[in-house]
Amino acid sequence: MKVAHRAEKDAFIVELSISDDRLKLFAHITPKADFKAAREEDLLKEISAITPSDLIDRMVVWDIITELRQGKGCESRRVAKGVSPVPGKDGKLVWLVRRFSPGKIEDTEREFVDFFTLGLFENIAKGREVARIYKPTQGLAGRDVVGKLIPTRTGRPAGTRFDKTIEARVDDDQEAYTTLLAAIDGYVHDEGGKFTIRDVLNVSGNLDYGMGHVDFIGNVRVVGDIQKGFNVKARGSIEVLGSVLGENVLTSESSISIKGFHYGGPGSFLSAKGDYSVDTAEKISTEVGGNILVGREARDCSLHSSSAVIATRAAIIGGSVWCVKGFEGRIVGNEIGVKTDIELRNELEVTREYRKLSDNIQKHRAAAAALELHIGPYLKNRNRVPLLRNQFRDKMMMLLDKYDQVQKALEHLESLEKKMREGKPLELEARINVTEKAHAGAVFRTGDAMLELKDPVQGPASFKPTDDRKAWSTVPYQDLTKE
Amino acid sequence: MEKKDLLSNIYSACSLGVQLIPPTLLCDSIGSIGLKDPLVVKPDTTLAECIATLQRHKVGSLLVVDDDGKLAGIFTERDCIMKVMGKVDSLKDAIVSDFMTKNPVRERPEASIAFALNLMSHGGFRHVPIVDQDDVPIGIVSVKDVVDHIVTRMLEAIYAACETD
Repeated sequence: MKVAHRAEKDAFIVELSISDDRLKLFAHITPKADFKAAREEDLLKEISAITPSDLIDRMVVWDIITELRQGKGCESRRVAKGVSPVPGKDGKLVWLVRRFSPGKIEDTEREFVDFFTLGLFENIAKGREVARIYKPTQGLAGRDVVGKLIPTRTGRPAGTRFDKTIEARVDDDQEAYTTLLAAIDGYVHDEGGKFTIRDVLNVSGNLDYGMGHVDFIGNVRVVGDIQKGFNVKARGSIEVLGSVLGENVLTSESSISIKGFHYGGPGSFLSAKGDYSVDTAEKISTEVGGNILVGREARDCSLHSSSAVIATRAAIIGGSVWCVKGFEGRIVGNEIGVKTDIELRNELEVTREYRKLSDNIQKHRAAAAALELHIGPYLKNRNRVPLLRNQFRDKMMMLLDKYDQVQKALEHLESLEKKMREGKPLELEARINVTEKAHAGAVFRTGDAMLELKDPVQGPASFKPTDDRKAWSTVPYQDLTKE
Repeated sequence: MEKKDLLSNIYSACSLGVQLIPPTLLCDSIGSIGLKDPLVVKPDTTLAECIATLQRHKVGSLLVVDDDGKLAGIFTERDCIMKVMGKVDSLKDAIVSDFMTKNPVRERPEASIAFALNLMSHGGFRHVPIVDQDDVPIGIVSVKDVVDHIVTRMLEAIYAACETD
């Protein structure tokens, strides 16, 4: 403490000291012989000489004087108090969404970890609020006991760095924070303190238990393999530089490209609105809006495309191909004559409704066949049914009724199918091209026409159905890929 | 959209097999709901002021923060009914810290909607305060907010299906 003022009055001696933090003023009072004449005004005057009157604690002064009049002095009574400064608060960044944290596997919510659904990132749609930057506050300056201002620390702004994929929205200057919005679809990524929204999810290694299933709003790029059982769903394209190892569901609203081997197997499915390209495929089932491009081989696959299937340098062995704009393959089937279906369909026949209808027809046909087995000879000799014993007769009547219903429904469904088939003609240039060899066992279909090869056909050869889709003819080879 | 149209759209979407609620919806973070700024009061605020604030803003809860701005409690319309009505003589003399729920369950904005719903269901809360890394409230989520969000996403799915199908 430092003595700031000393005065001698008739009734007392006062010594005023300021604390080290300059926020408190202490009075040391020594009574004199005439202590009974002590006056509050005298003490206040001395204190006011060094401190502003609003900081003086008058109750304490009054108490000191009361005691002084009884002959009691005091040691270090606090008679004035300054105002402490209030430091400003630093600005801060508060995230409203999960940021990508590769390799960070913790799940406090569920208290267990499901490696298939790690949820390492969150899909962010354009325009969505991703974070808030709270502004720093100014802070309030203080006053020491002599009335001098004590400066305060102003809060520092949050050192947030982000690129143009994140936009700042300031609705109101008075608002305590600035809202950050996503300028594109994607996920929030932290690049060493600089934040960005990435529209490509790049999986640097294999897509496995370190990442879990992927459901992403943008494009997905997997540098390694997609391990068995892991699914990828992307609004953008999917690109796999390695292989896909089986039992995967791949869905894209754009294209899918697999540079290596794609194995399907049970429960696997591929759906793409754009093109699908693969080097080698086995036992995959696809539903593709664009072209299907096979690099080397497709074995036992269901390749269904609303456009063309191009395998100019590849062999298609076993399985089935549906296409609208045509098929071109180097080799169809193999030496041992495995059945390989290539079917040209019109635009309606590759739609989901048509497939549903076809499935329905198949189910009805199966039901009709089962009923025929149950009913047996009574199906053709209905007049013998009344001769049966009561219980058996009723049962047979019921079965016949059911059979008639199924047949009627089947006829209706078949007429719908026919209408759909005839509703759209085949593509003008749709044909099947074989550049090297079509083995025996290859079957070309369209509508009611079926051409089953009994002997191998050397390429290049083109097969085209007649306009009414009732027969096939061989036409001069014309490269499908050049159109 | 009118209620009748909405219902008919929902029925037709169901019959088409349209997935009305996106499967990832519940995995979205609470922050995606669009957090509203919370109403905050100090612990020494009188009940009269608190109730007036609830009435003025037409909300069901207030967050109580300490001098550092950190969450200290929550005062809801339920507290008002269960602890205040008929038990407090003068609302002007009673302070909120004596009636609030102290240290309420709070969540970070990155937590999933599913987790928040689970908290509400198991804990029987209708409001969950959302706090930042310093335990300072940045929003509050009510059951109604979650339901509104689900309905909004459902409508988006219906509109999207109407465009494509």
